[in-house]
Amino acid sequence: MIVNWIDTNGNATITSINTENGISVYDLWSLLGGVDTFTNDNGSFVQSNDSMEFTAFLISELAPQVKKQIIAKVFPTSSVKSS
Amino acid sequence: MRVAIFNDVIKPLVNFQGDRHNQEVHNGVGWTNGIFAIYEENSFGALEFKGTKKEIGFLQNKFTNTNFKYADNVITNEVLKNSIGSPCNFLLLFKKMNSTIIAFSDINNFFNSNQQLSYGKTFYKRYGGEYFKYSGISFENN
Repeated sequence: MIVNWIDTNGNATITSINTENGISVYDLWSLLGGVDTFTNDNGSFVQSNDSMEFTAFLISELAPQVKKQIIAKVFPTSSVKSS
Repeated sequence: MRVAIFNDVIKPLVNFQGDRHNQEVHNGVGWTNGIFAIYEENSFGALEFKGTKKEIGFLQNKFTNTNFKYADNVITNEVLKNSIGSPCNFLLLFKKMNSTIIAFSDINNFFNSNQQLSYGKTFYKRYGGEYFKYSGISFENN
């Protein structure tokens, strides 16, 4: 998978990750900036959640088979069984 | 829902009278994966619950039943960053939470239908002590 970081002049910087053997959600989050994404609040840089938002967006757009695995293995919902 | 339970971190607490006693730092608190919390909060629709929430529930099985109530905090990037080097290192916990390998070598398309996706949002990324401004990010199958 290739990630293009588009700067304010429209130029792209490319980072890529080998997805042949699978990937973890942590790998995606790290690839998309990890803890190092920020907003600018009147000249001072404040930690932002952009890397988590990008990861959430990316997961939501994945192929159904991949998304199904992530929901089952990483974000399983609680279930109630009746007997 | 997968839940990990571990011993709380205990640290001394001092009040303005000088009384000092040990306090459980995260007493009554649960921490939720920040990526999951984004989906959870979006599912509330127009109510816009953000950040810390209160979980109230009832658990029952054939051996016991119990009520529970706790503050549900979100593991954000800020929490992760601040916890590096502390006794309760959330970065390690977050890595463990999200380290399950998702295999998709047999799937031709990584994305749902498009070969390329764009997410437009101005943000900064720090690299080598400098901040770089980006206007968006796009993803491609390679």
